[in-house]
Amino acid sequence: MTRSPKAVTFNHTPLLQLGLPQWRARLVLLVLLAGMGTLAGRSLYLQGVHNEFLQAKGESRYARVLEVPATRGRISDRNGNLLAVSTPVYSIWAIPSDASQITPGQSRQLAQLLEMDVTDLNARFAAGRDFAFLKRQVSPELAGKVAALGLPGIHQQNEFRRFYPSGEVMAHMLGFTGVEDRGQEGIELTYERMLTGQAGSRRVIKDRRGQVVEDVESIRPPRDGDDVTLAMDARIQYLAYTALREAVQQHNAKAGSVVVLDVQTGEVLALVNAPTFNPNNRAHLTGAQLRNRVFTDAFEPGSVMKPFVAAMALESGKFQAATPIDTHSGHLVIGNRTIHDTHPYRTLTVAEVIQKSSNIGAARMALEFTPEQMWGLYTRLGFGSPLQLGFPGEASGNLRPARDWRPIEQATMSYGHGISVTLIQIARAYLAFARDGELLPLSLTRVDAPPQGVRVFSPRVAREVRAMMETVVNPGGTATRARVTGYRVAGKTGTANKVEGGRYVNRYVSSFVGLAPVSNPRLVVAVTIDEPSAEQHFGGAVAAPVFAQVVEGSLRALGVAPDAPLAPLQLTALVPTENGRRDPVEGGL
Amino acid sequence: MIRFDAFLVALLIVLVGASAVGVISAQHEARKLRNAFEHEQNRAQNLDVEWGRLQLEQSSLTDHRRVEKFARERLNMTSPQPGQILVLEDRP
Repeated sequence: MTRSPKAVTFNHTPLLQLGLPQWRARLVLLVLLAGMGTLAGRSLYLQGVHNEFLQAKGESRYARVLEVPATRGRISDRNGNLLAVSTPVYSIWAIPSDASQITPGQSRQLAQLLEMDVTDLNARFAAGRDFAFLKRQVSPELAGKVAALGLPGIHQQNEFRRFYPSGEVMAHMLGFTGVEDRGQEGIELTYERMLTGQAGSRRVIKDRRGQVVEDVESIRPPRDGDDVTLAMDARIQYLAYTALREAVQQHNAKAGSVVVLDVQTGEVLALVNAPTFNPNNRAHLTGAQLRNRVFTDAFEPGSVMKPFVAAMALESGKFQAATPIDTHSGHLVIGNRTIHDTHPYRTLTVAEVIQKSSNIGAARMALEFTPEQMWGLYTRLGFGSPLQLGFPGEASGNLRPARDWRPIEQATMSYGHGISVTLIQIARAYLAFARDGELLPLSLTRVDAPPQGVRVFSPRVAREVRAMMETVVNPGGTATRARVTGYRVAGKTGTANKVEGGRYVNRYVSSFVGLAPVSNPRLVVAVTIDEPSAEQHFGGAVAAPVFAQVVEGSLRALGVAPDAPLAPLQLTALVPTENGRRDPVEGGL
Repeated sequence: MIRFDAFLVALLIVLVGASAVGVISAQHEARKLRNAFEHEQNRAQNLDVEWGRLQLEQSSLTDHRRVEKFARERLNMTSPQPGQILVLEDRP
């Protein structure tokens, strides 16, 4: 075999003619196929069966659920002045185990920022807990400074804090919220449902730098709390607050309250108690400061009840304003008890019974009626049951069922003893005189359309009693110091002995409830001063000046036209003895 | 005929490529816009907070106690006495 280079065929290279067995090639093929099959199976498994789990795992690397905070509603007065606002604050907290890396120098710095003691701070770090609040509710500026320190284990949490710019002036009306921004007292509690917001949350995708790049879904949309507009007028509230505070100080009284109602709508324009508190700083609160006496304290009202009895008497037709009543020269025996008028008169007309505040006169009128009739009147006027305004701790007062009344009790109830009422109840009942015999439901929030009233007296009778009550403030009445320049006012004094342990004691609740202006009433103002201890204790001397001060300022603030000449009054302050001599002592049980 | 098919395939490949680039840029744009939106939303929230604080400040500054104190002490104002009030009546 000649071999030329051209004829070289490598097929016949002996090296390649190994003659490998067929099975080896097949085995390789099989192994390769099996490998591929495994891969395909695995990918099918991952892609098809296990897909959801893996997707979620992957997403969790970059998807985040964000809290969307909701703010609590604002509270404003009827003219839109803000009375309660929530603003964001921060709470600084620590994970003590992480915070152990903080150097002493850093912790001194932190303590200085938070105005804390360094040892106290270190003690919190040393405590074997997983979580410790360092300081709650710090301002955003301070929180920023703390964050700038960049300390390990120190974290911040977004919270809200409620601020009350008017402080103690509105404290009892507004109430306050706790550290979690939930209402605990007053309007904050009553309207908690409306005011409170609901935080939402949403899922987002964040990029490497922590910026939101995609909104995946909104899990729950946030709902901000609704704003509440009160019926209160901040100007009138302030006037009432100032007047009450001065009176309580001047008479060295234990407590006091004022309520102002709008006659046209039944709105509560002002509500003040003394002593009061600062809702922005509640570190050292006492129960006495917290008490919203207007709603929670039922007291024996005394003579402020007499106009209702007079109205009942006139309504029946058994009495006229000029009907004379034998007042027995100051002593009337009923059963085995005697009731007194401190300033005895032989006879008084119905109008004079109101003007001079005669207990016997009121009792004589009341005893012309059955207990059921009188009970019915007091019930219709709203005594003995709470007003249902939703205010926390509202008292209902005490009005016993008529079948238990003995004549002496019916007599004393005619001048406001043996019955207890709250100041808000008595103020509301006086709406009947101011509104020509109609009662309205009260409202703490602003009312646009006046609600439907309930008639308790005829217009004629209401006007007649109003005229009688005007004589109370005129010379010869018990409350000349309730008079106001430029406006005709009407009202009734009350001076009731307090009951302690079932016995009447020599301490008093002085009150004055009245309305103004008489020609077309706009306001009902009720004042009580609890235990005035400086010299005077008569309603005409203690509570009436507060009434006058509130009425004068309020009517001017509301722009009500004067209905009396603007001549300077002959104020009794110029004749100081007049009150002492003319005021009949009330509550002579 | 073959040339036409080849041309069509090439065209489709180019179109698919362009669409892919389009999707990418649209996605990028969407993320940028979302980012900007979040930013503005944050700003709106901060402004809201600021507004609340300013309202609070206004309420504190116009508080009746403060106004009365200023009126009495700095401006020497007093409440008018009965003789000093003149009521103008609006008679048509």
